[in-house]
Amino acid sequence: MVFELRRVVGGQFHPAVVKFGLQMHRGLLRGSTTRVFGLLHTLSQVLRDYEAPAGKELIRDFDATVLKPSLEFLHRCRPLSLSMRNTVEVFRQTLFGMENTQGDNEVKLKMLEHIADSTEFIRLAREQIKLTAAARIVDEDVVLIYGYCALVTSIVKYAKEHLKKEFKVIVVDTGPDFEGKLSLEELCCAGIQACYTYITALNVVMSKVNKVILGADAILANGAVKGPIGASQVAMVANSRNVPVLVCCETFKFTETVQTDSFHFNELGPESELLNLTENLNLNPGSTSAQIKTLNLKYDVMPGDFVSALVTEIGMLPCSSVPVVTREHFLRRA
Amino acid sequence: MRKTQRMTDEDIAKHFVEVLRTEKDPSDAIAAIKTVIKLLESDESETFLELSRELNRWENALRSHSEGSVASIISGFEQIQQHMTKKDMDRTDMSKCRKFMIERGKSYLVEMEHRKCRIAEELTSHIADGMSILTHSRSKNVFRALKLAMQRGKRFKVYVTESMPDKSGHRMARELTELGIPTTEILDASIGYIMEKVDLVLVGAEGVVENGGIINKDMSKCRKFMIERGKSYLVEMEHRKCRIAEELTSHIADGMSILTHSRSKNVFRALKLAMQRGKRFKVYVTESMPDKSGHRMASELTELGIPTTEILDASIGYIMEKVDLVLVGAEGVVENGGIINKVGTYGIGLVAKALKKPVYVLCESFKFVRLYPLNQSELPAEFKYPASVLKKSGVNLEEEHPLVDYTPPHLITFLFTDLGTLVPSAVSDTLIKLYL
Repeated sequence: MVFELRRVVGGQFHPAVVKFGLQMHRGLLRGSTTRVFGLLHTLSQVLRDYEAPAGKELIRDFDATVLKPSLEFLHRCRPLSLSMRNTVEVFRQTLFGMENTQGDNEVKLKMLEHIADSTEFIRLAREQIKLTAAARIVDEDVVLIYGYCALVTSIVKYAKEHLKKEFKVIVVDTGPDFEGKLSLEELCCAGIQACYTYITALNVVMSKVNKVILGADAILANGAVKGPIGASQVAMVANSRNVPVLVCCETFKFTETVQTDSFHFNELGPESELLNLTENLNLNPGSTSAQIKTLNLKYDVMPGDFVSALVTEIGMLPCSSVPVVTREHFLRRA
Repeated sequence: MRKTQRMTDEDIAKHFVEVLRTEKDPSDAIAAIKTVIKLLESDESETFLELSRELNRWENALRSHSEGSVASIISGFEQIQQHMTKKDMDRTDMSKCRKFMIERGKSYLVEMEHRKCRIAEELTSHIADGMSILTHSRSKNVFRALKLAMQRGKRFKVYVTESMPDKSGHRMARELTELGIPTTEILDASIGYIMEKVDLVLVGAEGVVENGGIINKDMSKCRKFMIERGKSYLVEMEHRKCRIAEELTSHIADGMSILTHSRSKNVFRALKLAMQRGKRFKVYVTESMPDKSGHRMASELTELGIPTTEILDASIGYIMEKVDLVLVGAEGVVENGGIINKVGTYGIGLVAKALKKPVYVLCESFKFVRLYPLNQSELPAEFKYPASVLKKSGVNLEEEHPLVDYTPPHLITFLFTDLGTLVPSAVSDTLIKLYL
């Protein structure tokens, strides 16, 4: 697999890049934030081992000969999520912002510092979101969560273990990964009363729910939330019953792109996750597998109207404020 | 032979009142039917046409001379006329005819008695354990249904609106409490606030109109006081406030009808300025219980010479179709651009949205607060209840009337502030720039 990709993309890659690519390809890294951490870690390793060839300028050479092909390789292993693209964008902006810095070592040190700062920033942001969101959970609440999001489970656990709130959690799950079971395991360890169900029963359980807490892969400039496939359905049903929907998301995941439907930019999972044509189906001898197509989308986009509030490290915001935050961040970096 | 003394309208009304008094708690429609039967017994019409005219006269008499609900009386009369004057009736012999009609009327009453139980019966299956039910004013059918559900062992909670001006909800609440049903009496203006806790709304109807709509009581609310907010305005604020009024004036056109809730200095100032600029418009002010602050607002506006009508808090739904613009103040503007204001604002916002009327909020930017309520129950208690109530020990806040409610941003068209005219989402943008 690696050799094939190398041939397509061309060039040699740092072992850290290959390792990270394979981890992504095999789906070992769960959650977009985990992959962002992975990406930052990989970038730091690559940068540390990089030496600019004689007569070449570090910044431009690193960008052209190392960064771009590596990212291309990673993208082919698994499409980079919007939050990863954001991270790369900020990384490159910082890199090119150092053109006046003297000495290659100085640039490398500063960039490594930038990566360390970014990692720490995301970690602190998640910590802050955990505190803000957990404070919204009150006694006797029934909280609905969907699939698995490390941030969301940490919020619920914090509300139980540190804030000593007594509430119930409904875990809504769906195939093909059934990641909700992970959430369920963590909740049980924390001693939280939980109910597990499939998304097919969503409408039934929603009447009992008074708060929905979701994670997100990215928040788009029009306030739409890009989340795991099915999340928009959860938000829609919650909205139809006037149940507030909280989306927990670090501001580094706010993007300037706009997307109104889920097809514009998405990721397709392998067909085999949904259906094994020879094993699961009893096909007539005449019919061919070409007749059957599977749709295994990984993400969907929920309109901002369904979201009551975004819980971010800078506080709770309405979805309409996304462009303001990105603009402020951009101005600050510039 | 002509009847010597025709019954006067007053006599007919007296009959009706007599029935209401002697019968144990009949509905107005049933009382009307009983009155008709009684009148028929002493009727001396000689032709069927004459009898029909008499029936019409009785109906009009009851409508104009009794305190009963007109919608109920009309429907009662229509039902009984349909029932009594079936085609198979022999219309030649008037005495036979009358006898036949009286019998029909009585059998109808018996049938109705039986049917009433069926209403309660049918409803019981829709009430589930743990439900919160909101009901308005006093309705015998609703009462009967709730009583039956209670007897069947259903456990539920009831919110009853106080239902001004006659406070009939108060009686309903008392009767339900006597039955042992947990009941909370709420202000008429609190319906928006309470709605999120409610699973089911039960209302009786005085009449059901042909398109399936119902006519029911126009209502309102109760006592309790509001903390007088002692505000010392700074000179700069004084200046800025003028800007709010200034900006709004251009949005007021001649001939407009404006609805405002409670008393707001900003709204008052804006209306005053518009008046001084020669705009001619009409204002509806809600009475705004429990402190009747709208009453003061209305008298102040009238003093200025603005045509002002004070309306019941409960009649916002009724008045909204006549209104071009809703103007409210705000006690606080929260992070998402929603507002916290005198209880009843949310209800007005909802009705305005449903009838597609613009809602303008007038407030200074120092009222922006870093608070993000998701619904009414998330409003902090100190916003909702006066300090005197919070200080008392052992108070069940669920039983207290909230003084303010939260109006979410999607119900608000514009906020007129000293920073300029903002859409609700711009509030959050302003706060982000301030705090980020």
